[in-house]
Formats: sequence, C-alpha cells, structure tokens
Amino acid sequence: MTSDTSSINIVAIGSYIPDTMIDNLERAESFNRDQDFVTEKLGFLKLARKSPQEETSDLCVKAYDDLASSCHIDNRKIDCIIVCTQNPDGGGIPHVSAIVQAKLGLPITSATFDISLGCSGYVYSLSIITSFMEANGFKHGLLFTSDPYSKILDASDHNTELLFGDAATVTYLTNSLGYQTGKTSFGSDGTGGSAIQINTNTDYLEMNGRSVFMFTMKVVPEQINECIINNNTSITDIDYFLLHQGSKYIIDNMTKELGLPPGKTPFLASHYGNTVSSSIPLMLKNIMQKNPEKVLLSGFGVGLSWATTIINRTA
Amino acid sequence: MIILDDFRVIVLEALKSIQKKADVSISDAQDFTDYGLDSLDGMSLLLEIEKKTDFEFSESFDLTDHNSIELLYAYLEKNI
Repeated sequence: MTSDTSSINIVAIGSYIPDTMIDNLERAESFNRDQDFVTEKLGFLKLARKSPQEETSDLCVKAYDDLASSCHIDNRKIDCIIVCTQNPDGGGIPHVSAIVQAKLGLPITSATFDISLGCSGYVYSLSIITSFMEANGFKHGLLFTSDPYSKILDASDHNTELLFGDAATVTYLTNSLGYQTGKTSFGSDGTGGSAIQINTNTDYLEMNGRSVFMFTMKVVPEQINECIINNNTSITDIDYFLLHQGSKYIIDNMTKELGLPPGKTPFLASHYGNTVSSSIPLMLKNIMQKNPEKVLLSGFGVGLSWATTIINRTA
Repeated sequence: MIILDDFRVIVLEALKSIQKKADVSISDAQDFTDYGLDSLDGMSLLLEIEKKTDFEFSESFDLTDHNSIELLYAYLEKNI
C-alpha cells in the first residue's frame, strides 16, 4: 500500500541524547560476548541512558530546546504536535503530546496526539503529520520521537540490554522549502508481534532476535525496492539510505542484500544505541547538513511493522 | 526433500558469504560454534537455508541444539 506526496516539508530537526552512557565494551564479557562481537556485529559501543527522573516528555522538551537553538521557530504558530512513543510518561494518561504542549507553552489551539509505534514510527509518523497538516491547512507542525526503552529493559537480558539507547528528536515541518516526503510504502504483520513484546509477568521487554532478523531481511528489502519504483527513481539517484539502526549487523546485511554502496548506508548509532523511533531522525539531522538531494528512510521492527519513504530536497 | 549433498553445498556457500571467505572447510559433524560462528552468524545461516530450501524454521528453533551440518539436515528431514 502506498500514499501520495505532500507539500509540507521537513525544515529542521532537533535532538537530545542523554549524557549518561553505558560502555558496552567494558561489560561485554559479563554477557558472554567478546569485544569484536560488540564492535563488528552489534556496533553499539555505548548506550545512552536518561536519568531515572527524566520522563519521556522531558526528553521531548530537551529536543525542542536543541531545535529552537538552531532555527528560528515562533512557537505561537504551531498548529500540531505529535509524539511517537510506546513508553509514555507515567501510566500513559494523559498523552505525552499534551504534556509536551503544556511544558513548552505551545498554543492550546494546536492539534495534539500520540502515535503508538516503535522502530517504524518515524516513517509512519512523517506520512501522518504531512497528510494531517495538508488536510487541515496547517503550516507549522512538530513531530517528536521519544521512546526510552531503558524504562522496560531487564538488565540481565543480553538479547535487549546490549542494544537500546535513550534519545528524543523533534522534526519541524512547515509549508516552506526543505525536504518533501514522497510516496510511502507501509507494512504490518501482527502474527509476528510476539517477536518483540512486553512480558506481562515481568513488565520487561523481550525479543526473539532471530525472528526479528529473519523478518527484517525478508520483507524490508522488498519494500525498499517497491518504494524506489513507486517514487520513479533508482538506487543510483538516491544519495543516502537511512535504515533503522537495529544493529550494525542488520545494516551490513541489508546493504549486501540490496546491493547498495556501503558509503550510502551509514551506521551512526555506535555511541548511543538503537533509539527506536529516534533512530532515523537522528541520522537525518546529521545527513541534512550535507544537503543531499534524495534520501530513502526505512524503519522496521515492533509490531511487526515496517515503512519506507523517499524525501526530496526542495530548498 | 533436498539431498544431503545439496544441503551441504547450501551451508558451505552460506558460510563463505557469512565469513567473507573464498573457501571454507567444515565437516558434517563439526560444531558450528567451534568453527567460529556466533549467534548472529547462525541467524544468517538459517536465513540462507530458508531462502534456498523453502523450509521455515519455527520461532522456537534453537540452532545450538542442531549445531552441525548433519544435525541440521536431520532436523529438516524430520520436519519437512
């Protein structure tokens, strides 16, 4: 299933990565892993961790502070606020975006809601916010990603504890020039949902790494190829392929499977970890500084859920 | 059902790709872990086998319980 293009553009991205870091190399042995495995396969040398006092909304606020420090933004003009998260503040009510709206003093006229998605969340949310803004004549929107998995990790589980880092991003979208989302491809398979889920006895995240890897390698390359065709472009015309940073191993295998030039599929998460829906916008913020013309974004994971789009520079 | 000789070729080709080697040498009885495969390599091996044989390993399948060419082949024989 695909969706059409929009005139709403990505203008800027702010981010927040907590200062506290866990050193994966130091603790690799305690998880029966050697340093080569951490460096060459996982790829995550360090994992960012929020403080226990920081809430999901607090990470959003800090990402916004970063955005505001780097681009002119009149928060009185904000029309909509979306937060993509599956680990909300407290018990989940009220929604995180309402809390963020209050903490940042954003207009009470803004449309404010959360989206419950994980690693596919940014690409899904981009499509949602651009469509929503267009449909309602909105000109200024904020898309936050903030999904601190440290809230739900079992420190003794090597399947998850070595992977995830905390971070938040905010993408500022307006009807001026920037990066425009092209046609997006979506996918969902709830029959595989148990591959990444909360254990209701322990309230901890559990993950079947093999199932996730198999799913990723089977369905995502096909969707990426479909997205390229649907956007009337080719691999050679795309400057960067920003693939969800599930692990260096997944990026390396996906790059090989798709026949992509390794230089076009960066792995940038080595010093903060798999940040779930923040994974792609963190990379995009970095890559935008190079002014690429065309960037493919592909997110995949919990659900199972996957989505791919191509953004094109209009500025 | 794929014959053992063909299955062996699939495994060896997969190992060449996984270990980025032009040539690999592993006996049917040799333990994959002793040969140098880690858990992620094991996932890649199973993916290649699935692609080449149309067999699908169940979510509960554990390669460490079938950690050689002959054990893996025996599993396929029993479950196809």
